[in-house]
Amino acid sequence: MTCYFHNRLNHHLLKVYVLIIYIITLLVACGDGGSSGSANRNSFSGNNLNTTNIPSEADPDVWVEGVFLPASNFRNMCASPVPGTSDNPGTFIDENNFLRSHSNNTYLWFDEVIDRDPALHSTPDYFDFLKTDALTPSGNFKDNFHFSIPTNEWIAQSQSGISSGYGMEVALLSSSPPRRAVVAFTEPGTPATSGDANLARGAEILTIDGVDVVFGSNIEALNAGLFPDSNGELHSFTVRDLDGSVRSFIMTSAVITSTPVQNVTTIDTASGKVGYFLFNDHIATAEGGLINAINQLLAAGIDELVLDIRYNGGGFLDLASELSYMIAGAGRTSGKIFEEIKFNDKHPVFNPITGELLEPVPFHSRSLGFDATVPTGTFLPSMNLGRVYILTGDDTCSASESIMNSLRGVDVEVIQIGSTTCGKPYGFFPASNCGTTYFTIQFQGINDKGFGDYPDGFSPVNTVSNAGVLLPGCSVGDDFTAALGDPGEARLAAAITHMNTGTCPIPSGFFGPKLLTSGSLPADNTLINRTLWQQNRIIWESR
Amino acid sequence: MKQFIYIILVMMMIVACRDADLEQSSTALLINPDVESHDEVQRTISAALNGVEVLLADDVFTKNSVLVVERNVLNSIDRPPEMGRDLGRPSRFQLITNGTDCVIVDEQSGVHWPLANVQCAQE
Repeated sequence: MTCYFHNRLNHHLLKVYVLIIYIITLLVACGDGGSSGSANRNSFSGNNLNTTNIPSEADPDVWVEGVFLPASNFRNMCASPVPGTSDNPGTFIDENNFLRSHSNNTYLWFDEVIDRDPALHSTPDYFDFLKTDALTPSGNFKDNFHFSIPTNEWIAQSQSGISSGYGMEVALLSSSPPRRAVVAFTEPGTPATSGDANLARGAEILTIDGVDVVFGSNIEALNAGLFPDSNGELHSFTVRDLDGSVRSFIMTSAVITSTPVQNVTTIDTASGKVGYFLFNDHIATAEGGLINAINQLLAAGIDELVLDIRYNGGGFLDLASELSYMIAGAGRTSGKIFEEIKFNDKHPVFNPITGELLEPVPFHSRSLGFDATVPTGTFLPSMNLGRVYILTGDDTCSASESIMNSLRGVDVEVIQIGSTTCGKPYGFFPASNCGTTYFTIQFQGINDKGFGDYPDGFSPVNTVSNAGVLLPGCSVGDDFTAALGDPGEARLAAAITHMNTGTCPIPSGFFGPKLLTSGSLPADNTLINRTLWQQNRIIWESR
Repeated sequence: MKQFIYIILVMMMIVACRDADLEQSSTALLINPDVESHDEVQRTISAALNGVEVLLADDVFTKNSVLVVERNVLNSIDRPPEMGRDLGRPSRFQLITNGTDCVIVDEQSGVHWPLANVQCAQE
C-alpha cells in the first residue's frame, strides 16, 4: 500500500511540475502582447468556444441569419442572474443567443435547424426550435432526445448505486395517458418488498398520493411520489397485483442500494449449459458485478450466454466496452474499435466540448476502476463467444445498444429476443447556462464496421410493425407474470427454444394485467385475465 | 524572474513535505461511525465536488476505503433518460490515515481534506 501511495503521489508531484511549467509558458505567452478582440476568437478552434462566420464588428444584439458569434460571448448572461453564482446580468435574448451559437457549433444536425430570431421567442421555446424535424425511415422524429432540466438536479451526485427510493424499478409502458406503470423488478430487503407493500414484478401502479397514474395530469405529484428526493418521505400507493386484486398502502422512502447485475444463473438445456444474467444499469458498481458474473459463468462451463438488458437505459460507455470484451474475448476484439465517436462535420478531429483529440473507444481488456471493489487495471475475464442471445425491450437504450452494435462490429452473432430497442446511437455533453442544463445531441457512435445508423432501434427479424434494424431473433413481449431469470419467462424461454430449434413463438406483446380503459379503478377485485396485449412501444422508462 | 523561481521552490517544498507525510499513510476505514461522522464525510465530499448535493450510504467508508461518486440518475415520469451514453468517469475518493489523522483524498487530483471528528483505522 505504501508503494501504491508512493507511486500515486509521485504521479501527482509530476503533474504539479508540469502545471508550473505550463503556467510559466502561459505567462510568457501573455507577455507577447495580449491582443484581444474578434481576431482572437478563431484561436479557440478545437473547443466549444469555436465558431464560424464571425464578423469582426458584429453587434451581438442584432440577429443576422446565418451569422453566429461564439457561444462564450453569451455564456452566463442571464435574464434572472442568481447572486453568488457565475451568473451575470443579461437578457433572455442573451440566453437564446448562447443556445443558438452552441447548437450551431455542436449539434449533430446543425445544418437541419432553421435559424430564428432569438428576440422573438422565450428561452424554453427557442431551445425547442433548435432541433431537426427530420424523420427516421419508420416515420419517428430523428431527434427524440432534446430536453432541459434545472442544473441543480443535473449536478446532484450520489455514491454509486445509492439513491433515495423504495427499491423498485418501474417500467413505464406508456408515458402519456393512458399510462401504464408496472413494477419491473424489486431490490430485496427494501420498502418495496417489505411490510404492506410487498410488491412483486408485474404489479401495476394505479394511483400515487391519490393522483391517477393512468390518466392524471398532475405530473409533479406523480414524480414526487414515485421518485422521492429524500429519505423518510411517506407516499400512498394503490396497485393491482397480477392476480387482479387491488390494494392500497403507504411506503416510506429510504436509502436504497441497487444491484445493477442480478440473477446470475446457469440453466441446463438440450443444447448445453446456458448462462443468464440481468444487467440493469451502466453505473460504476456494475463493473464488479459484471466481472463476478462472467467469472461465475465461466466456472460453470456455459455453452451459451443470454444477456438480459431489457431495462438497461445505458450509462458509462466504457462499461459497455468492458462487458463486450468479456463476451467476445481478445481474439475477436484485439485491435478493433468498440465505438468511434463522430461529431458534426465541423469537428472531424477534436472533441468540440473537451478539445481532446477524437480517438475511438477500444474494447477494454482491463478494468478502468469504476467500482471500488475492482483494482484499476485488473485483467478482465472473457468467454470468447461467437454468439450471444440478448433480451431487449424498448428501454434498452444507448450504451446498451452499443453492446449490440459493437459486438456485431466484430462478427459476434447477436440474436435479439424481445422488442425493438429505443434507437439512440447518439450522445451529448450537457451544457449548463443560467441555472438550466441543456441536452442536445452532439455525437453518434459507430462500430468497427463503420455502422451506427439505428435511429429506429434494433428489432427481432419477425417484428410485426415499427421495426428498426432487423436482427436475427424473435419478437417476444415482456412477461411480467414470471420472474426475471426464470426459464419459464417468455423472453428467456424463447431464447432457449431458439437455441435448440431455431424457431420463434408467435410474435407477441405485453403479458400482464389488462389495460385500464378508464381513469377509475375497478369497482370490485375481479380477476382480470392475463391477455396478450398489443406490441408496446415504450417511449422511455421512468428512470 | 527571481520571484518565479522562489514560488517554484516553495511549491516544490510544500509538495515534497506532503509527499513525505502521505507516504507513511495507509488506506483506512471508519470506526465507531455515527451520524456526526457520516455528516462530516458527507460535507467533505460535497465540498470536494464544489458544494453539490451528495447522497452517501449509511455505511460509507466502513467496508471499503474507496468511495465512488457519480451523478444521480434522474427519474421522471415525463421525460427520457437523461444520458445513456456517458463518456466520463466517476469521481473516486479514498480514506487514508497516518495513524493519527483521517484524511479523504481525491484519487485523481491528489487534493486531500482532513476530517476533524471521525475515528478511523488502517484497513
